[in-house]
Order: sequence, then C-alpha cells, then structure tokens
Amino acid sequence: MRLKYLLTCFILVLVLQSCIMLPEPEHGLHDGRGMIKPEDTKTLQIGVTTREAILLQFGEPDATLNQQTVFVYGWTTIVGEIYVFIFNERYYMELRTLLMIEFDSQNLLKRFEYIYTDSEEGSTMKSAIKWVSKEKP
Amino acid sequence: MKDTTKQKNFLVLVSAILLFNMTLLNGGCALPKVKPVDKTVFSDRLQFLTNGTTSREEVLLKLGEPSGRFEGEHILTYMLLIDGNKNLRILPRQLAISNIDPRLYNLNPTICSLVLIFKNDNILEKSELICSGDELK
Amino acid sequence: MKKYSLTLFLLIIFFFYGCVNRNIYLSERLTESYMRSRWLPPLDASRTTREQVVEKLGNPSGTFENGRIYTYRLIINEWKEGMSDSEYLDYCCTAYYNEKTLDKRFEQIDGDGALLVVTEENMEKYEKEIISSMVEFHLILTFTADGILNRYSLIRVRP
Repeated sequence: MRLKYLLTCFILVLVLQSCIMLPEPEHGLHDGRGMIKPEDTKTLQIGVTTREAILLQFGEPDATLNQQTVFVYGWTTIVGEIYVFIFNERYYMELRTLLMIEFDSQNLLKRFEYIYTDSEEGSTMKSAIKWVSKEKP
Repeated sequence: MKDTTKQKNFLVLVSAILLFNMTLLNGGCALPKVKPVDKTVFSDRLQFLTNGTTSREEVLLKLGEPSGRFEGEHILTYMLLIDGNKNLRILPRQLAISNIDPRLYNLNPTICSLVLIFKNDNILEKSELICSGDELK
Repeated sequence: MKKYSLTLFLLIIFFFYGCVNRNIYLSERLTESYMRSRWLPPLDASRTTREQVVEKLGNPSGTFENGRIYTYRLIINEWKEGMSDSEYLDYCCTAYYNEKTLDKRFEQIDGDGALLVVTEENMEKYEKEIISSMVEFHLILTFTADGILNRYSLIRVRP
C-alpha cells in the first residue's frame, strides 16, 4: 500500500514536471576522436614512458599547454537522457572526460590523470589550465 | 491479495520498460576507443610510408603540412578522415577537433591520427595510425 | 489517398530539386590546375628562388630542416570586410546548397577572393574564415642549398 502510494506520488511529480530523466550506462561518443580507457593507461610509467610513446599509442592530443609539456585528450559521452513530454523533446546528459598528461624536461612522463568537466564551450581549457596549476605552490 | 499481485505486475512492467530503454536503445551504441590500426588498409595514400626509407621531405610533399609537430621536427602528426568508402583525406586541424560538423557527418567519418617519428637524418623511424572504434566504419 | 501521396511525392521532388552537395560541386571546380592558374605565382623548379616565392606569397605557414622546406597552408578568403557571425552561421557548416547559391558563391570566391596564407600569427584573427573556407590547399616547396626551388607539390585538403 505504501509502495503504491510512493509510486503514485513519484509518477505524479514526473508528470507535473513534464519530464523524465533516465540515467544510462556511458555510451555514444558525442565529441572527440575516441576514448582512452583506464586499462589503456596501465602501461604508462612515471619517469620512463616518453612523449613519443604516448603519441604512438594515443595519437595527436586535442590540445597542448606550456610548450607541449602538457597533453590534453578529450571526449564527450552520453550518460543519460531527459525527455520533456510537453515539448516532445529529448536532451542528452553529457560527460566530458579529459586525460591530462604532463612531461618533464627530459620528455618523460611526469604525471597523468583523468578529470571530468562539463561540455560547455571553453570549459575544457579552463579545467586543463586549472589542473596544470594545481601542482604549483 | 489482488492489490499485491497488481503492484508486483506494475513494478515488473516499469522495470521492463526501463531495462528495454537502457539495453535495446543503447545496444550498438558502442563507445569507440582510440587504438593503432594497420596502415596498409589504405593502399594508395599511405603505402609510401616505409620505416627506415621514407624521408621527411617525401612525407611533406605527399601529405602536406602536418597538423602537429613535437620536439622540433622529430615527430610530425596528421589528422586524417576516413569516410564510409574507406577513402582517406587529410583534415585541417580546426575540423578534426569536433566530429559533429555537418560537413563531415554525411561522410560517416572515422578520424585518425597519423604519427611519424623521424631520426636525426630526417628518415622515418617509426609510424603509427591511431583510429577510434573497434573496426573502421 | 493515392492523390495525396502523389502530391506529397511531387512536393518533395520540387523542394529538393537543385539541391546539391557542396563538396561534390566544388571538387569539380576548385581543382589543382584552377589553383595553379588562378591563384599561384609561376613555380619553376631549378629557376624560381626562395626570395621570389616569399615576395609573392609572403612568409610560409611552416618551415622544416633549417628552411630547406617551406609549407604554405592556403585558403581563398572571399570576405573582404571580414566575416560576420551571422555570415559564419549561414555558410559554415551546411553540406547541401541550392546550385544557384553555389554558382553565386563560386563567383564570389573567384571575383572577390584573396589568397590567405594561414599562419600561427593570423590563425585566431581569421578563425571563422578558415573554418568556413570552401577551399584549402597545401603548397610544399623544397629548395637547394643555394635557395633555388628543387621540388614542389600542391595538395588539395578541402573540398
């Protein structure tokens, strides 16, 4: 009885808001050349892997910073959909992932990290610059 | 008793709809990842690339200005577009960054990165073609 | 029902009649030989000098092997007064056009256009023009130690 009541309330709320949000498993490349999965980064070794090796494995980065000492690889995937009933429209919820890679003065791998940002224009470079400056005192 | 059965049926129906949406609609929406592919798939445009033989001059004369250069001229990169007929085109960098440009859409493209490593004597040492997807479209 | 379907079919044909793919239309017109004859200075291997090339085309987009190889990234900029945002949205990214529009656009390119060498310095200033450009060629020139043109190639990148 209580479950029925809760379900009814839930559906009413959705209908009143005129939309339904569906989380989905990450799928569908919306932007970018392709994703670089964490298992693909398992061969990377700090102080050993060269810039050349990174390029041969992942290709040209989408952006570089600080005179190519930082590489940025980015892609956008779909992680949900929003249906707006009254407009009969569907909107995608996106997740923008950046793989940040920094090299030292010997062109060897210094650090790398996945960071997540929104897919708004300009946010990729803002997030990348923020990550680069994180290490500075 | 009837209410319990109805509730159960309702829940099963809602779960089935959600599952249907998440699996069937997402089925086939693979998440392409970047990985090296065999250059010899593209017979005429890239077959001239031979490690140990091809010069940087030859590369530039045949492929044009690279979209990226690293460590001086030691590493050159080209963005390439492979359309639905497996024809290869050099892609200007500005168009390569976003694959949702309608001018490219109707080509059903795969965007690849060609990475070329040169030795000090300007001869090609290593090369790799990195594309997205498990198989070329 | 049959009349309705036929009418609808005819309307669709009428609507799409004359609609062509921009890339195919321009590929037939913006060829290497058109580029050579209309836009490039004469290039004579074993005679043309590096100085003559720079005098005609300006500084290259890139240089390699201590200036032995010059690369020029060339587009035809048809926007004399610069490209406005609304013009950019109109022309940038559509693949299909009415053939008359393309004829007009080609006339504009041929008549009002100017050769633009894309460099690091001007890339931001002409970003809209570069992205929406209908044509891009790469000119690669190699020189001897004396600065004489040795080999060259012209590669069409767009359309």
